[in-house]
Amino acid sequence: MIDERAGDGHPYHVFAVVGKGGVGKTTFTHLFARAWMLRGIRPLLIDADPTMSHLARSFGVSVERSIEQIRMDVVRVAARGKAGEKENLARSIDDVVADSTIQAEQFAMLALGQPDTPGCFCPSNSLLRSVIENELDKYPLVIIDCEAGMEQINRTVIRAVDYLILVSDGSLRGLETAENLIGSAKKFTSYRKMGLVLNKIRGPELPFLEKKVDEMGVPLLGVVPDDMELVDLEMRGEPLLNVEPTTAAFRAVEEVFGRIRGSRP
Amino acid sequence: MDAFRELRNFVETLKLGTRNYSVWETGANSKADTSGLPMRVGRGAWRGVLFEEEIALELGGVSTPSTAIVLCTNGVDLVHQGRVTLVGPDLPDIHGPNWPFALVILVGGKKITADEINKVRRVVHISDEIEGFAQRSVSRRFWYRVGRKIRDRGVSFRDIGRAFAYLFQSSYPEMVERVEVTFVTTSPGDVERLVEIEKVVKEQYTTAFKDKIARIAKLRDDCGFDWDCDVCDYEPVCEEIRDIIKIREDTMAGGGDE
Repeated sequence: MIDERAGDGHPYHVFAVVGKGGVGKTTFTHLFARAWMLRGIRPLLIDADPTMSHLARSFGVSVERSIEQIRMDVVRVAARGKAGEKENLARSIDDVVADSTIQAEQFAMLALGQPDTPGCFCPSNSLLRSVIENELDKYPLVIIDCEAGMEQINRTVIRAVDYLILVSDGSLRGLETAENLIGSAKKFTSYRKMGLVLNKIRGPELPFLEKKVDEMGVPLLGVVPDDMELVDLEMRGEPLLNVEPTTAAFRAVEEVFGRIRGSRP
Repeated sequence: MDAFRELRNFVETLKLGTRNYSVWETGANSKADTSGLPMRVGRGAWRGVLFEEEIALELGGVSTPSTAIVLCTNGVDLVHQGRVTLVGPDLPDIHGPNWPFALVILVGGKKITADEINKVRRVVHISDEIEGFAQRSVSRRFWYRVGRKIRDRGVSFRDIGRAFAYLFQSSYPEMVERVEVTFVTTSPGDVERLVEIEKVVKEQYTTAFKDKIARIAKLRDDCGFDWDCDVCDYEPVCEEIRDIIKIREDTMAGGGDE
């Protein structure tokens, strides 16, 4: 079934990029998003890193207001319990979330932020999820950089993920985490398609890793090399936005993009 | 089921070994009530505290064995509605500061689910529900105090049994169909044996409770708090948030004035 929102006849609307910390999820998400942008599709990017907005930084933008900050406002208003304030909030929260979405020319971005409340206030998750799900509908494509883990994404952002992209580096632990994440994703989302990207790969270890991925029974979407140009950028503190599409890493992500785009659920 | 059988067998063995037992029946179709009881029963029936000078005796204590076992079953036929059994001396005949004491309550109800069992079982932890009958506890142990006033009124275990039956049925009328109460006051050794059985029962329910918590955590996937909202201090705030959700939904459905 084609999802009309994805535009361009693309079957997937929401992508979630998951993997062990440090395997290069944000770098992959950045390059993957740019592959879409190059083709004129303006995605909504969700930076779900609770500690640092790395994805936002990679695009050279800064987050003014995160979902967690909005959630705090909801909790504050609820704690005061004043009817007028509650009413105002109920009527304005969709606009507040929309206004908190960074609107750049080629993409939009929403940051999850860091939870800072003592209780769970789970109805606030339901409220924000409902608002965010409405917001997602405005974009042809949504890509979530899931540092936070699938459980939190499911709880606070969205129930349904269409495509799960597992990212692993060349370490066994990276692959093991990816395998565990499949279980977590099955539990918390109803994704339709899944695949794995090997990232920061130097070369000699590749046959071994490919065999491992094959044993996991997960389709290998592509292999992104350990690109020194990206390392240099990072060392200089420059945003990834300065990465040229001609770099080895970008070209490899383009191949992943091509594979995903050409696939059908 | 095994614990049921073990308890029944044990009580029957005790009855065979002593002539000092009583079985009172109010009838299989009777509903537990409080008519004719020499003390008030129900939530807020009294202030819930017995001071030293008001105590006639203690059933169990820090160094005297005591236990309270509540066993729930969906097999309603396993429970004799309205039956109160006492093995050992009755309250008017007990003298002394502390007496070994076991209370066994069997609860039958087809609608009692694994999730609700521990809620039902907690009814035994009374505070202000039975006038002159106070629960005392220290870590992992509890016993009961009997007040002079109700003793002077001639209260018996039959009355206390009826009171507990009433509390269980009135607290969960939808779930609790039958209640049967047994008291054992024969000897410390007999009560110790029931304390051992209680450990097995407790383990069974603790496992059920842990399973329930695990399931709640799994089911409530919009919540990271793996406990029941009932024990969360922030529940009133959540109620307000639910209000906000309702207002927003009404507004979106065109119920608002925008």
